[in-house]
Amino acid sequence: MPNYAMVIDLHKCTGCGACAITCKNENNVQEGFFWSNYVHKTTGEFPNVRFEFMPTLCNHCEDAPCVKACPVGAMYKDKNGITLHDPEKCIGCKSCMIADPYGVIYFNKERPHKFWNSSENAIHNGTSSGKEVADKAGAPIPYYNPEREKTYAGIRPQGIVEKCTFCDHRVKDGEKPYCVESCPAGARIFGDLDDPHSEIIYLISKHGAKQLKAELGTKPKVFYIRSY
Amino acid sequence: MNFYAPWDIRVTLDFFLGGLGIGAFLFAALLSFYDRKRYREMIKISAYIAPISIILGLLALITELGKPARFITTIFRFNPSSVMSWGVFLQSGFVLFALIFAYLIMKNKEDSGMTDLTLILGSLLALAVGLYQGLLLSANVGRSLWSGGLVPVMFLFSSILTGTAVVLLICSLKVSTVSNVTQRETATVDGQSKDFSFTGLLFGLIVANITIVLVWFISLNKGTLETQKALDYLISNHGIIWWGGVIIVGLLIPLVLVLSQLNKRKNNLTTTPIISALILFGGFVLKHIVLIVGQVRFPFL
Repeated sequence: MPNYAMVIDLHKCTGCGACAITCKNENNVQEGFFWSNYVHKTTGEFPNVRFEFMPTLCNHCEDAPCVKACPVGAMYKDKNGITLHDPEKCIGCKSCMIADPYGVIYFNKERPHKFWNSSENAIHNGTSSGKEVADKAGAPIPYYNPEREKTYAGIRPQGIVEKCTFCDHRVKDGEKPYCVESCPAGARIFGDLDDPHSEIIYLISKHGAKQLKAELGTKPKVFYIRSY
Repeated sequence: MNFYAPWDIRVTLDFFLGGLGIGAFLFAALLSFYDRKRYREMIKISAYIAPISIILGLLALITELGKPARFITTIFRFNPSSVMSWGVFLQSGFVLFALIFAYLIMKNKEDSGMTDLTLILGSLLALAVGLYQGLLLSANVGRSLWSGGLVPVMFLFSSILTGTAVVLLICSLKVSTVSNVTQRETATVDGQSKDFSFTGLLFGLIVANITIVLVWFISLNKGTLETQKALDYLISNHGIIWWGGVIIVGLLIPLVLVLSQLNKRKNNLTTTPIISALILFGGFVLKHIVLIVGQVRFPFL
């Protein structure tokens, strides 16, 4: 069985945020939630300014604290090393969010995709509402991707958490996660950590890699190489 | 800094009410083994408070769940690595023993061997539940305010203090037991046991609480950059409620009042409810502030 992991080449990353947008498209992620996210920081004063940008996502830790914390086993490790979530088992206790050191798990406090369920005019004094657009599109949301339903709830209902799945619905068919596929700079590389000939092993060996909060011992599997 | 705290005041209510429950039960056990005939009324009140309080706390916790109806699945989907999973069983076990004890007291069977067994097993579970509440927080990696392992002990002692205080508050409001609550130790001539020193117990518990809170605070302050950052956040954003509410109102003023009561060597009918109310306020704020501020996340960069 493979042990999937990701390398993010910060030197190649342009900070365009395409990963965050396309992830929403692929996984029907609602407003305010970011399975694929980024943080940035500007330091110094002109002309000596430094800008840092770091894409973030679930680290699919080998020793995942969210999996340990879940009282019902709804958060679990798949055989291929991906950390997955079972919406049918989830009780919405948010223990995983408390345990997760990276802030990548989101809780559906309300009914998801409020905008597309609302009959209020989308634009003030306009004529069309989010619900009308969704109805015309014949889908829960206009950009709904039915492929997501293959392995996870297409849209996660109110009362449960959700998170990045490394696009397990694509990976199981031999495809790459959509953020990897859509990165215009080719900054994301996905592969098998246990395969000594994989590209990610080559890159980690060549450049040395940094993991977020590695000191916590969660063994995160998103590796950052070089710098922005 | 704005942040989203996944666990809100309903979790504090569970910690606080659950804490009252275990504290009241332990207090009942202490009095039962001291002199159960003499303090029958107080034991009775404690025995009723314990299950009611912890059940109310659990109800508050269940409403906090996204899918409250699935709460029952925690029983058959046990995850041994999850503190919350263990907590479900510990709390259920404690509720069971607290209910049995309340039933035995209601049926006037406090002298039976069954009562002693219930008290011993129930007390062990009460201690476990008291520690579990803090463990639920401190068992998380990367949560600086909860790190270091002192939070479970701090919560346990706060629970014992507030549980004792709630019983004393209710008893002191009932005229018939007021004298019991406020009497000082005096050897009696008819061979009865000495009066239990409730003021002395409160004094000991308050001092223990102050010690643990101070040790926790100092060790975080002298800890890593991360723990200092968490403590700075606590003080800069909630300093007034921390120093004023938890330390001064919740611990130091009760300590002064208890000391003056110990010093006067006479019944004081007015201070016990005040001391108890202040302790309860401080205990609630302590648990709430530690719960909420501990959920603050600091940026990676």
